Amino acid sequence: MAFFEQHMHAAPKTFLSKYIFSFDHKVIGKQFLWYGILFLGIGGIMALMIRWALAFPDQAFPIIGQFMFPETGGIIPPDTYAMLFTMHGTIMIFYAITPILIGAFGNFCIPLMIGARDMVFPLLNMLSFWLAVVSGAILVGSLFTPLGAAAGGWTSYPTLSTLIGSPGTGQTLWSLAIFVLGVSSTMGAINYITTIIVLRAPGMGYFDMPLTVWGLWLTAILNAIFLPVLGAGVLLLIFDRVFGTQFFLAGAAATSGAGDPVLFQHVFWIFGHPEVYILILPAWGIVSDLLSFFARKPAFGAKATALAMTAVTVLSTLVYGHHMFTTQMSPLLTQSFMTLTMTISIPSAIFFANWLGTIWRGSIRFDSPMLFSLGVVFVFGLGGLTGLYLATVTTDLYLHDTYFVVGHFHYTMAASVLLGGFAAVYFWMPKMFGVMCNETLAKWHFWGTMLGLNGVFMGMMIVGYAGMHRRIYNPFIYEHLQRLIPINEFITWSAILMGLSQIFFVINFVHAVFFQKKKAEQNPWNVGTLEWTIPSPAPNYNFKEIPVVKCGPHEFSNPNLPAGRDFQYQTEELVKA
Amino acid sequence: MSTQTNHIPGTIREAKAIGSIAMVFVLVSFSMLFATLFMGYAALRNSAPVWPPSGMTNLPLLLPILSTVFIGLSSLTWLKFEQTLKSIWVQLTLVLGLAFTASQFALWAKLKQQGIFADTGVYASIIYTFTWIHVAHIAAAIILLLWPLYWARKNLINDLRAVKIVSIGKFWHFLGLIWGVMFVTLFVL
Repeated sequence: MAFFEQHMHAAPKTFLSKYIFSFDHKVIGKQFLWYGILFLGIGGIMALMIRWALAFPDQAFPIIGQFMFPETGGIIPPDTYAMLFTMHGTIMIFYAITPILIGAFGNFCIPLMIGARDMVFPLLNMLSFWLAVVSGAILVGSLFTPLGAAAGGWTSYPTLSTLIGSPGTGQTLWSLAIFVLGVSSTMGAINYITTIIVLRAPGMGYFDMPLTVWGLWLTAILNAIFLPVLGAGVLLLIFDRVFGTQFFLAGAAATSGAGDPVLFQHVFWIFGHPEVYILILPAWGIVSDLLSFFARKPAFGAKATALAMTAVTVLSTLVYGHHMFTTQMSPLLTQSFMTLTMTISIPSAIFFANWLGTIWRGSIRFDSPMLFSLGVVFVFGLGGLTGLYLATVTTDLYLHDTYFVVGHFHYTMAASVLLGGFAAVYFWMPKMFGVMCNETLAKWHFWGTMLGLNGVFMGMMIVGYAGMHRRIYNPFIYEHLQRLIPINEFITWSAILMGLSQIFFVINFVHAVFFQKKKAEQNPWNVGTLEWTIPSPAPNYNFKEIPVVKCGPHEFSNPNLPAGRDFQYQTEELVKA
Repeated sequence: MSTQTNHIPGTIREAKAIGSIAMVFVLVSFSMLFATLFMGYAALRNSAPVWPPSGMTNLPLLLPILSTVFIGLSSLTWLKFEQTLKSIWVQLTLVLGLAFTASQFALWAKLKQQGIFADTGVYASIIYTFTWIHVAHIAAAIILLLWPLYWARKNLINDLRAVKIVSIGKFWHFLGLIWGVMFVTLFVL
C-alpha cells in the first residue's frame, strides 16, 4: 500500500457548495441517505398497497385510495397492481437499498474507516449522486405517463417489456432510468475501488481494514463488472422499443424473426445474481463489524470472514442460471448451475459460523445497532437456508414463481439489508450528524420491524409452498387458493405493523437530525476503528493528521489493557503483556 | 474547482498509480458492456437456422475497411503524440477519429440505400446497434481529445497532464480494439 500526501479540504462557504454540489464524501453520503429514505417510503407505501389488494381484494385502500383510484371507488385496479409490484421491486432494489447501503454508507464509511481525507475522485463522486437524482426523476416521471409506469415486473422480461407487452412510454423510461442509474453506480464503484486501493492510511494492510470496508469493496468490484451487463441489456431493450430493432422479439412479432426473448433473461441474470450480492455484501460487512463491537470480542476469524466474502463474490458470478431452470435449459446446465449454487453455502456457512463465534460468550451490549445486527443474523440465516430449495432443480420446478421465492428473496435481500441499513444508521448517527438517536424509540422500531417482517415473509413462504403464484392480482378467484385468505390477511396485518413501526424511525431520525440539542461524544460506542478517533460529527477534512495504523479493527477485551478500558484504537500499538 | 485540484495527490508517481488503477476498472466496465453485446450476438447467430439471413449476403465491405484503416492509424498517431507531445499528432488523431465517424455515417447511409434498416431483421439490428453504441463512445472520446489538443497547442503539458493523456489514450486504443473485433465478427466472418 502506498502512502499519499492528501491536501486538506477548504471548508465550503456557500449553501450550494456545502449542501447541494458538495465534493465532500460525507455530505454526498448524507445526500444518498435522504434520497434512499425518501424512496424507501415510496416503495414501502407501494408494498402496503400490494398487500392490501391481496388480503382485501374488494375493499378500498384506506385514506388515499379514494384520491388515487376514484374510478374504482378506491379499489386498486388490476393494471395498477402490476405497476405497483414492478415499481416496488425496482424502487426498493435500485433506489432505496443501493443508495442507503452503497451510496450513503459506502461514501461515508470508506474514507473515514481507512483514514483518508476524501474519496480519490471527489468530482466523480458528486456527479455520481446527481446522475442518480436524474435517474430517480425519470423513474418517478414515468408514473405520470399516459399508460402509466412499467408493469412487466422488476425483471422486465420480454415479451412483457417489449412494445407488445407494454405499449406505453413507462417501460421505455424505466429502462432509461435503470441505464442512467447504472452509469451513476459504476462511477461510484470505480471511485470506491480506487480509493480503497490507494488511500489506505499508512500501516493499514487489506486485513487491517474493517470488514465493513471489505464488504463495500467487494460490492464495488461486482458493481463495476456487472452493472454494464445490465446496461447493455436495457440499452438493447430501449432500442427494441424506440428504434424497432429485434433483439428480444421472436415468432410472429418479428418480421424475419431470429430475435430471442430468453436472451434478455440471460443478460439480466448474469447481472442479476451478482446484484443480490451487491446488495447484501455491505450488510454482511457492517454486521461482521458490529457483532464484534457490541460483543466486546475480536471478530472471530476475521480473515476467514473476509476471504469467505471474497469467495462468495467470485462464486456469485457463476450461478446465474438457477434463476432460469424453467426455461428449458439442458439438464447438464441445470445440474452444473445447481452444484455451483450449492457451493456458495460453504463460504456462507463459514462467515455465518464466524458471526456466531464472535458473539459466543461475548459481553453483549444490546444497544440498537446490536439488536439490528442480531436481527440480520436471524433473518439472513432463514433466508439463506430457504435458498437451498430454490437452488435445487427438483424443488425449484415446483416453487418457481410462487410466493416462496418472494419470501426467500425478501428475507435475504430485503429484510437482512434493511436491518443492516438501520443498524448502520443508528451506529454511525453520532459521526454523521453529531447526535445520538433515542434508544427507546430505536428499540420499539426494532421489535415492530422484526415481528412485522417475520410475519410477512414467513407467511409468504407458507402461501408460496401452498401454491400461490407471485404475480396474480386476485388469487382467490382460484378455488385451491381460497383457503389462503386468512393467512394472506395475517401477512397484510404484519406488513401494516412493519409499516407503522417505521414511524418510530422517522420521528427518531428527524428529531435527532434537526432538533436534538445534546451533542454526541467522540466515541460513544467505545470502538477502536479510525472514524472514532476524530470528533463527532466528523470535520470536513476528516483527519487533521493522517493516522498511522498499528493494529486491527477488532481489538477488544485484551487482558493486557489497563483497567477500565476494554478496547484500543487502531492507531495504538497492540498491547502486550 | 479549486476544491478538486486540492485532492490531486502530491507527486506524479502517485498520480500515475491512481490513474492506471482507476483506468483498469473503467476499461473492465466498458469491456463488460461490449462483451455482453458480443455474447448476445453469438447466441443469436448460433441459434439461427441460416446465417447470414436472406437479404443480408452482400453487406458493404469497403466502408468498414476504411473505418478500420482510420481508427488503426489514429491509434498510431496517438502513440506518436504520447512520445513527442507535439500538437500535430493529436490533431491528426482527431481528424482520423472524425474520419472514422464519417465513414460510419456513410456506412449507415449505404445500408439504408440497400434497404437494410434497424428493423429489417436481427442481423441488421445487431449491425446498427453495435455501431451506434460504439460511435457514441467515439464521440465521447473525441470530446476528451480536445483537452490534450488545447494543452499541446498552448504548451500547457506538465507531468500531471501527461498522466491524464496516457489515460485518455488507453480509452482511445480500447475503442479501436472494440472496432477491430466488430469489424471481424460483423463484416468479415
